[in-house]
Amino acid sequence: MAQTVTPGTSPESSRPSYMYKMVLLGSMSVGKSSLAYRYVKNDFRELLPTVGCSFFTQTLNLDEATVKLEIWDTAGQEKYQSVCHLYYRDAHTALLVYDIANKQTFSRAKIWLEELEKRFLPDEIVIALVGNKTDLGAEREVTTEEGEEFARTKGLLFMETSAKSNYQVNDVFMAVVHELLRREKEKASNPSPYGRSTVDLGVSGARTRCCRT
Amino acid sequence: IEQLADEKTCMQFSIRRPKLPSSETHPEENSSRRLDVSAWLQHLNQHGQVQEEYKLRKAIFFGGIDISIRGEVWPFLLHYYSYESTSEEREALRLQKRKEYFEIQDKRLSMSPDEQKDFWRQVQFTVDKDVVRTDRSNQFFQGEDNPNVETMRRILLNYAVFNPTIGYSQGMSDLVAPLLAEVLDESDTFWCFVGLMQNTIFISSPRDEDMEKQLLYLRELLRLMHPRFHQHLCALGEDALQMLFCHRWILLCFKREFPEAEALRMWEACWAHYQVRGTANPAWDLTPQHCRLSRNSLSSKIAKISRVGDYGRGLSMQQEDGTLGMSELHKEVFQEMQNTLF
Repeated sequence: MAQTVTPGTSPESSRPSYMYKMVLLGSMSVGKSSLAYRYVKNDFRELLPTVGCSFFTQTLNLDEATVKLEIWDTAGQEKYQSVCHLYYRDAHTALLVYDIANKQTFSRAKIWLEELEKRFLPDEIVIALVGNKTDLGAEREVTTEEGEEFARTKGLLFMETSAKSNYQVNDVFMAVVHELLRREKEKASNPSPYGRSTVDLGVSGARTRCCRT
Repeated sequence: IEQLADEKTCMQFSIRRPKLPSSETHPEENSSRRLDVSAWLQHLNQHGQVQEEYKLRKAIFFGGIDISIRGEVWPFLLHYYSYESTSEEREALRLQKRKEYFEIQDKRLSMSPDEQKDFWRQVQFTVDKDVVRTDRSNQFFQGEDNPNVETMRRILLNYAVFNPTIGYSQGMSDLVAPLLAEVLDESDTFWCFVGLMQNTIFISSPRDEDMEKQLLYLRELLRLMHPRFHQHLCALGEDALQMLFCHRWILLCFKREFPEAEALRMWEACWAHYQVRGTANPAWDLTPQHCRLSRNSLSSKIAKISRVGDYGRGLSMQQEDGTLGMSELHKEVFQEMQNTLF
């Protein structure tokens, strides 16, 4: 798991604090911004197309740790995708979002995965595959099983959501956070020699981050 | 679905110093009142020609244009009408350009099935998704099946046919929507949009290296002009230094960062090109002006934004006074950048 997170202590207890960078990737109009908006503001509204990148943060006070999520919400149009490596550099987690009512966006998510696999070692990043827009069930083009099966073979977390009807949005973010924390624990008890610190030494080796609570 | 007003407010820059002491404003500040109908008519001679273009541009830069005549004046600023043209010539131009516009549209509508398929994939799919979520809080585009949304859609599709190299990039709908809402006529709006696009960064798209280059220059300028903030970014790490948070500011000329009325006021002031050389690049054309505006003209408000405000002040001082606050070395570097950029 990524070494760039420096555990700190929150003021009220000795719980560790973590900051994670999460990047939302996927075709245009699959609901990346809406998922972020639903998760952070618990609301759904008509959002302008994302241009460049939008940023959200969310702080979670969990029993075991304080987690600050830094959410990078990217533009979906393919034209913009050559700058995307700038967006997901040093990300700890990625949500690959597709629209269950649009098969093409599912294929596109697979391409995103290949891109990420080129840039990250498997234990460096937690990836979740998210089939959004379950409220459009009548127009579904990607079955739940297809999504599930693909995620299973690639070792991704998987969940179907609806930002519009608030279905499993919180759950998918929480699943990712728990996986990040699980890996954090695993790493502490069994330090891996293949962490990012050995890969990126010199660039981000000196970087320390801590959570402002 | 609710309006975006609330959403916008929380995402927008806040104005920290609405009034400035005169020592901090441009010496010519308050030299012009808002350009209203009667002032506008005074700029025209009996043939409808703009008598002194420079004076008009200066008036617009400092005073802005009254909403009632924006649709009439913007076409000049956007290089659709020339300042020397007479009213008669403009009418003739409009007719001719309307004909041209519909020829472009015919071209689009008479594509072969293969071309059509390709066009749909490259352009239309994205345009269709974007127009229905652009400026919907603006009354002009509100409601289901609003014909103005369809007009915006046609303009963007036709533009992609007119300029296939650029085609359509997300964000372009943000630029065309306010033009349509003021200019109203479809063909006139299209040609104004063509003029606007000449002065945006989209013109250098789709190559993303251009944006990376802009951000690199911005970072360099920041290092020179506002070292404290630059250090702050350094301390935050590589992600902050990439300055990706400025991407949209540059691309959309701050449209989403300010309430619409103020953003448009900035746009037209920038288009007036007062005291700056015209450039094909909004980052260097708009940013300094924009911030100067924020300091001086914009309803005497300053947008002292946590980040760009201070940066812009450095820039605008440089542009207004040439040397103010700059060491020789800085001047040289800046000069070099200007040469590279313009």
